[in-house]
Amino acid sequence: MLILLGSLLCFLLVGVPIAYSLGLSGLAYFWMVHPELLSVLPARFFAGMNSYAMIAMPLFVFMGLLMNSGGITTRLIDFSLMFVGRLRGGLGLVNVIASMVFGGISGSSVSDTASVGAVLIPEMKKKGYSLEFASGITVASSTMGMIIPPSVPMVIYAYISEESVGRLFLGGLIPGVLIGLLMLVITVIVSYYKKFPTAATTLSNRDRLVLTGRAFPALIMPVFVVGAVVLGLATATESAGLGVLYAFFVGLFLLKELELKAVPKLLRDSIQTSATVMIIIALSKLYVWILALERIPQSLALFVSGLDVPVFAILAVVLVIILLVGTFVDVSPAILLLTPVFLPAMKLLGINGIQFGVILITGLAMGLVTPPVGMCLNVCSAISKVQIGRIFKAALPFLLANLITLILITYIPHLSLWLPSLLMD
Amino acid sequence: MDRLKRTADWLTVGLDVMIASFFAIIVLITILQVILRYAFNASVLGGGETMEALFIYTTAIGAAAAVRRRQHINISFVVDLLPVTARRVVDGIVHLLIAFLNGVMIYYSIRWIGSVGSNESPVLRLPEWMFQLSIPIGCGLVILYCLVNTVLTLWGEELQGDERC
Amino acid sequence: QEYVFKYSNSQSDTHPRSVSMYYFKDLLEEASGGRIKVELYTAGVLGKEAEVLDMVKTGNLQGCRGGLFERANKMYLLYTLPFMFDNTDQVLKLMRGEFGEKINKAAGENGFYIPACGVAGGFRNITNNVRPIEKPEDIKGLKMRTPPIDMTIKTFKTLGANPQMVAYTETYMALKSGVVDGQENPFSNTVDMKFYEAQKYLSVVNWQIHPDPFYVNPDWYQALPDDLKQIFNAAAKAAMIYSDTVWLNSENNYFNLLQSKLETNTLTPEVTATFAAAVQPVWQQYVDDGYFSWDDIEAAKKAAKGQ
Ligand code: NA
Ligand code: NA
Repeated sequence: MLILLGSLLCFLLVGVPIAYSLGLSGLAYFWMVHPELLSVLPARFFAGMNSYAMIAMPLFVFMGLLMNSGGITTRLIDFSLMFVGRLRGGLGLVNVIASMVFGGISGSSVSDTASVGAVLIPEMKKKGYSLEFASGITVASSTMGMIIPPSVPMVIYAYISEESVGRLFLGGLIPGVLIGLLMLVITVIVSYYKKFPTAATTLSNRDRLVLTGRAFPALIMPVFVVGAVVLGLATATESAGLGVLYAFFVGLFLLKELELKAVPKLLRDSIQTSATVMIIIALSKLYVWILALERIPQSLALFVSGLDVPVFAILAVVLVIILLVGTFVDVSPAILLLTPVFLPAMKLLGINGIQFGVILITGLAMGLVTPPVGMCLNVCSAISKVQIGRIFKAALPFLLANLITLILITYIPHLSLWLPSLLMD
Repeated sequence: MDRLKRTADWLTVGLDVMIASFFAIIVLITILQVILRYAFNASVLGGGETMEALFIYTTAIGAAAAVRRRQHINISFVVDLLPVTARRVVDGIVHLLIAFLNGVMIYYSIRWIGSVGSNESPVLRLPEWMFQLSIPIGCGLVILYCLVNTVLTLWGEELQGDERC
Repeated sequence: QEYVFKYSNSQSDTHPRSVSMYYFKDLLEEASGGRIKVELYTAGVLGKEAEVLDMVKTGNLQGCRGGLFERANKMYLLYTLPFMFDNTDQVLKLMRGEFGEKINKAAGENGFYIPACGVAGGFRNITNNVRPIEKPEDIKGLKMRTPPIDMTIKTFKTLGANPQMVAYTETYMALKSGVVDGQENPFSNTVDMKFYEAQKYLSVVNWQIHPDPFYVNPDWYQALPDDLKQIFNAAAKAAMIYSDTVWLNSENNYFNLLQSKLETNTLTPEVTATFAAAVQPVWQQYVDDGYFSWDDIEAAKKAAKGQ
């Protein structure tokens, strides 16, 4: 046990990739404790790579990239402007709304930061917002990308926990939208306080119709893709495939901005992203196998359920652990490390696997925006050239929305469980 | 050294093309399967298995390409505090560790494939060594790139610390 | 010297398979006076069935139970021929008799020691949403969820159905949304996964049964002293009989529940014979592919009927 945890920390801290750290500390364990089991290494490694369900991951990534290259982002922004443009801090509100809708067509927060940020940050600067504020609101609102379905981290969690992808998707919808609404409120307050401009636009009803029409293909995408999974019309993998087909169609024929010669690069980027995550999954299978052999999750579950401490206090501790891990570890490896260890204990405490998944992913999403390890911060800093620490400071007021939602979904199971049981039971 | 770098990068591009094509085939089979089911009440027998096999190879090979590009997810903020020379040395050690793990993996995978490789896959009835071979192939490429990276790093190739994600 | 027997299966602790293994653990540890220690890992924590089976073969684990029996011996598929048996007594008689022993023993060639083999639940039966299955023609055109098992796919294709590969865990939604019309499973699974909630008809056609071999690593077994070998074999046989009893009894309870939820029909022996005739091409194909001969099938049928 000491070897397992100690060696893992050592490898991680000297900068060995997370995947290979898991493999090396597994190797160290076998070598010292169970040399006769060394030959299980390739079998577990292979078992981790061999998954039909996880093919959904690169497909969802590819779908998001296609939609983006198809010019959907600017249309979403125009569409959002129509609603909130006349309010104070209008472009800030647009940023939040665009991220909410974008969350519904992409499975990742990082791509949300990249695409919304690239268009809106320069625009906001032009209209007199500070670069810090523009960057802060961009990264904070992009956390919704992986909470509002579809979501790549949810596909990963579903695979590890053997929960239904459809239920998880639905479970994330209310918390994701709640974060968005709270962020809108916070933006309004901050804007009045800082006297931000309105984005005054005069639109005729005809303009509104045109703008809606242009954004329409993107607006119906979540219904279409998530709906197929939820109704069981297709597996998560298949509906991601349908999403790809749809994105192609929209990009080539409706918006006409997708160039075929850009597609090979998008294919490569999606499958490369997938490989770096899948290799972690593969080697975490080895690590988790050892945990199971030592019966560690079981012992932890028994220990926790035997504690004479109220459940809400245990949950508070779990939340703190999730936030801490999320601060230092990227989302997918954090899911792979935390799920097998905590889920059995949570179930023994009466926390449903879907609810825990939504809590975990909402918590880890905040880690994308906190230094030192925060992918959204990195991407945003590359776009706006603002230092990571200063973006984080500007994002802080908005992260209040994430924190409030996180606490609410931890203590009110209905927020994550009502919709799945309504539509799927 | 330049020649080593060019050869390695040429190989990486080749692998990129390969896994991107595998992924393209996966996309096509996925879409085809849904269309067949709804439009023709039919299915591609073994479609799922083919997708799985291609996917395994994209991971095994993609992981190797990611070693060359230093794209693997790691925790670098501790190492980033070190002076440049120390970082180079640590980077070399890290690559040798990865190579060692993959070497052990190859060693045991040969015995493993020998023992269970003749099992048939459930639908296509193909021997499973065809899928399992991805491990020695992928791990072999990883070792190759680890050595290339170590040599190039010590030679003075820039560490792409900022691009690590 | 103490011997450790590490064992794994995919089912939860309350499942008949796991229950009978806890029985095995108590029995063996007591009978061996603690010289063999049994460590059970249930609920699939050590891997999926195929992965765990490989681990038993390579010696990382010492035992497991689950499907994929053709990897131990192709002859196990003979038990799974469609419409092969009239009742479960026939199956048990065949498996526990000389014929079954021979199949178990031949698994040694493929790297497994099999001290005993039981049944993985009762007969598999069909539920669907379109019509009761009363004659072979009723299956024509049905979209059937099938597991990735060659025998199942071939049988339903031969009967004119359209087999669809849907993961076990996704079957419920697939039935509910009409992606597939029906599925086939023992009663226990149909209840356990709540498939009946999304189905109208249950047809008791008793089309197939699955064997449940107790896979053991041969090197581990051979290393036991002779007295422990005997104790181990006796405990394994007793545990498998216990498993059959618990499992088949539970099927009856599940059947009663299903009858109250679904419109149920049962085939008469005459109609079953027409089904058996309709699937003869499947039998023929397995003979042609060299899995077993017609003589084997005849011998098995005789042994099953106690002739
Ligand atoms: Na999303
Ligand atoms: Na972070």
